[in-house]
Amino acid sequence: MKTPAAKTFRLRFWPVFWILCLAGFSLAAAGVWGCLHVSQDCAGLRDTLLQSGPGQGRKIVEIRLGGWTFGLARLALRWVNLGTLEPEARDTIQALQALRGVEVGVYRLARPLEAAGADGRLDAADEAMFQRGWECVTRVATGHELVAVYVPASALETTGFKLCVATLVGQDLVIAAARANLEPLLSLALRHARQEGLHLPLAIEAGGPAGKSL
Amino acid sequence: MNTIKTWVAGFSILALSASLNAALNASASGRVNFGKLPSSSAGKPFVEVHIKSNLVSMVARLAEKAEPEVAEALRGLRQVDVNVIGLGEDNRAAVDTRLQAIRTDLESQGWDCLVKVREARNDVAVYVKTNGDEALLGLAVLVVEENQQAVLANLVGDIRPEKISLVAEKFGIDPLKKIGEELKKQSR
Repeated sequence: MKTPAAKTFRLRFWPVFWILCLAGFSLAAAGVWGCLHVSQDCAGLRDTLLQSGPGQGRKIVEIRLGGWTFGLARLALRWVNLGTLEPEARDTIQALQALRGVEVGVYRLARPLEAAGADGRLDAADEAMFQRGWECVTRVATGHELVAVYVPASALETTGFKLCVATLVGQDLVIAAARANLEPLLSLALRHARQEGLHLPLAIEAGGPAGKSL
Repeated sequence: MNTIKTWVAGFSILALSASLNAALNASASGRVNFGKLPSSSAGKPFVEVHIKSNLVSMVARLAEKAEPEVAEALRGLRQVDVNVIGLGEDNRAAVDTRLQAIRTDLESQGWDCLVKVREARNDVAVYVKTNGDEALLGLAVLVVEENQQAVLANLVGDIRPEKISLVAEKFGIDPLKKIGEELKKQSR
C-alpha cells in the first residue's frame, strides 16, 4: 500500500526527470552542433568568399572549440604538474592555457581563383567583415593566392585578442579564427624564435620577467 | 510647411558642416587617402597593410615594460597604411598617374618634401606634414622600385622618419623597413 506522499513524489519525479534528460540532450546536441559550425562572423566571411566568384563552393569541414571547451581544458590542466613534463609538452600546455577559442573551416571553390578576380573578392570580404565590426589589417594577393587578416574594429584587449584569417590558394579556402591571451603566447613565440635564431614581428617580451619565466 | 523647410535647412547645414569638418580634419591630420590603387590582372602581387590606432596602442601597451623605446615611438603613432602594388603592363601607367596626382595633392595641402629622387627606373619621394616647428602630423612615402613595384606608405601621428624602421620591424612590414633604413642613413 503506497502512501499519498510516495504517490505524489512518483508523480513529480518522472516529469522532472524527463525534462532534465531532454534539457541535457538538447544542450549536448547544441554543443556538438556548435563544434561542427563556425561562428557567424566566420560564416559571413565564408559565404562572401565562396559566393563572390563564379560557381558555388562547398564545405569540407568546420570545427569550433569555444570558451567552454578551453575553460574545461584549463580546469583539467590545473592538476598537471608542468615541472615533470618535457619542454615541448610544457609549451603546448601553456599555449593551450592561453587560448580562449579556436575555429577552422576548410572549403573548396568550384573554380580556382583567377588573378583578375582576387581584388574583387577581397573587397567583398572586407565589406562583409566591416559590417560585422571587423577591420582588415593585411591583405595580400599574389596571382592565385590571397590572404586577408582581420581584427575587431573596437579597442583591442591583450587578454582576449581576437583574430580572423582567410587564405585562398587555388581552389582551397581556409578560414581560421582564434581568441587568446596574447602575452603568454607572444612570450612563448619569442622564446622559440630566439632558440631558432629567427626574428619575430610583434615579438615583444610581454610582461617582462613573467614572460621569461615560461 | 514652414516647419518642414526649417527642418530640412537645419539638417542640410548640419550635414554640410559635418562633411566640411571631416575634410578639414583629414587634410590637417597627416592622413593621406591613396584611393583605390589599380592592381595588375597579370597576377602581380599586391599587399595592403592598414594598422589603426587600436592595434598600435595594444602593441605599445605590450612593449611598455620590455621595450620602452618602441613604446615611446608607437605612442605618437595613430595609423600605418602601406600599399605595395606589383606593376604590370596593364597598370603601370595608371599607377604612375595616381602617384603624380597624390604628389600634387600633398604639395597643395602643405606637405613638405623631405626627399625626392628620380631616376630612370626608380622614383622616391618622402613628404612630411608638420604642425609648427616640432610636432609631426604625418609622413608619406611614395616609391617606385625598378619599375616593378610601387610602395605607398602613410604614417599618421608624431613619428620621426628615423623611427620608421623600428615601427616597421615591430609590425613586420618589410617594404616600410627598407624605406626606414634609407631615411635613417640620410638623416645621419
